[in-house]
Amino acid sequence: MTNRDNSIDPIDGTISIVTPENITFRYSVAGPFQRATAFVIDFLIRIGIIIILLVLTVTLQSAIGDVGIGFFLLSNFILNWFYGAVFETYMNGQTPGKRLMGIRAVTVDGKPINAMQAVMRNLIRTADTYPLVTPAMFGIEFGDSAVYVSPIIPTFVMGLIVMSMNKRYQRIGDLVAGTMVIVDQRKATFGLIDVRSPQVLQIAAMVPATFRADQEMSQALAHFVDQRPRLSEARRREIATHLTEPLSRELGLSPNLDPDILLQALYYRAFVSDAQQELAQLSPTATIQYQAAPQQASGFGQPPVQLQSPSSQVSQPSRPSGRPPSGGLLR
Amino acid sequence: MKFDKTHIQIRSRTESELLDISLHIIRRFPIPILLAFLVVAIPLLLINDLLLSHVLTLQFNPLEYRSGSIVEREFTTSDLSFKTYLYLQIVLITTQAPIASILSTLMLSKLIFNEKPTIKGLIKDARSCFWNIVTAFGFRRCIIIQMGLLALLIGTGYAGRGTILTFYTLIFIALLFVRGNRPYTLEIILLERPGRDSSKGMTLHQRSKMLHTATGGNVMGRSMFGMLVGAIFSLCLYGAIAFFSISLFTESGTIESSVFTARWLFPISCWLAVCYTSVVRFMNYIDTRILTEGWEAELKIRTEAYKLEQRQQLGTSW
Repeated sequence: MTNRDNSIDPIDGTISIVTPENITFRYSVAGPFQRATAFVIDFLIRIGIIIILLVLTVTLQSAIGDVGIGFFLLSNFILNWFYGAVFETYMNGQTPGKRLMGIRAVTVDGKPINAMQAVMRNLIRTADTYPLVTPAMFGIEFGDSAVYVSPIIPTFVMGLIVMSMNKRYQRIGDLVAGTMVIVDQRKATFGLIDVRSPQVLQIAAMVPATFRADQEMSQALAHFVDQRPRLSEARRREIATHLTEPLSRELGLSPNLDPDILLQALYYRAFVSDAQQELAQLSPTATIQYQAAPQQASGFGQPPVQLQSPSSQVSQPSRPSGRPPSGGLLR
Repeated sequence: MKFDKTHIQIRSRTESELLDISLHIIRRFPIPILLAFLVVAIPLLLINDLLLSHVLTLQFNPLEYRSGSIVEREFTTSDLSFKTYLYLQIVLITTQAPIASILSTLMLSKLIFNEKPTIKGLIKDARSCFWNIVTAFGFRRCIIIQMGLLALLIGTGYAGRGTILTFYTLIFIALLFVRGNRPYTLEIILLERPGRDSSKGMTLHQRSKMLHTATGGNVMGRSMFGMLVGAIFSLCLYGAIAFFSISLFTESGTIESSVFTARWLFPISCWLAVCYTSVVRFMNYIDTRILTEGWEAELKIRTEAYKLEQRQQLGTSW
């Protein structure tokens, strides 16, 4: 993770991988609880297959005799030990459970895992389930022979401790195979939010032309405009006032302006009107088109707008995402 | 204070992300969190032992005593006493869980903003909220009442035990619903310091209602899920601790009705799970505030305001 000014490395469940070409990729690592759901789904699939095999064996026993039992035991063994390995090899690091949960096993360098790594990490899974306990240890008996009739229950404490002790949430199998599990799902990207109202446009026109929002200021404005629809009016003003007081002094604006509207006006200036001018300078045919973004901006009620240029050579003005800079922009 | 220089990235997260990141937080600050937790949990462990250890000697049915090796017979108790003790212990620890995490919650709140708190400073902070905590948890959340019922149990005969245990159970069931509905009361008391008089700002009740109802059933769902994870976590820990205990200290390979297990191993595993769930609860509280109060935006806005004011003081232009 990138260190910032005062060397704080904020905990966010993400890791950075720098390629030999000096390009940094940021991955969101799946922790034990994100992986547990995928494990349960895969476990249920395995149980389902075992039940089907059992029913087939019992049904066909009269026809094929003990061969059926042998076939069932062999299938059971293969299913328990190689289910994960086979799927992860042929489904690029995913089992059905992992695919459903949007996670994927990759190498620690961020590359796809190979068959050997898939087999290794799945064979050593048993070590992560230790220590194993039986109800008989606690005096709960299911038959005459307390110890041997009891089912064996994995506690997964070993795996949990090992995963908690490293940054990539690697279990023992991952450490041996040099793999990790990352979150594969892409987060929704938001379009620009339409803040155009007469009051906002009026105040935006009052903001001096010298105003230029740097990247951090732009991000702060974007966060505010993204989140303001779910905040009360008083709360919006409370948040906005922190910035509008020094800003009004800086820009020579009246201190009586509504803080909420002023920040919206600055957002408009930073992302719409100034960007429009830049586009116009770069390409006379470029225009800003307001259209519904592919994904609604968190259901905030206002249709987002996107900047578009007819020329592919004109770079689009970038808008910071809803996440902070170190929060996985490159996923 | 640089508000975006936090040890935890301030952003909204899913429940499973919160559970995972809580492990990460414990890994980063193991000693401060554990120390702050143990300062309160160890006295509670001892008080609970004083209140409950007599249950292990209750003679519900003398015929229930199990035979074992000579060594084990001296240290085992009747099956029913053992199970009753475990039940009472679980209920008591679940009831006391929020107050056990007073100092660890304060510790976490300081650590994420890059402060270096001391236990002495945290105790001083907690003392300023003493009456709010006693009222909210001692009486409204029935911790004192539950402990009082257990104290009554010490001198009560067979006939009275049933009544006391029924009350104890009913209070616990009601408590689960109250806790599920208002899980962040402790965090509000400690971190937001609500007043006791509505004329001097929002009271605890007003603040609690505002926070807990803002996201609808989300808060209750998360709270119940957190309790479930805590229960499973403590069982897994107990299983692991018992496994090593059996391997090292018992002859028969079973741990049934062991006094040592009941008095020490079981509560210790429960308290360790409470320590983890307190971090999860704190993270859930932060997440709820991020969602409902625009923390993410506020932190960024305040950082920009701070930078701008610094620039203005230095006289540098825009």
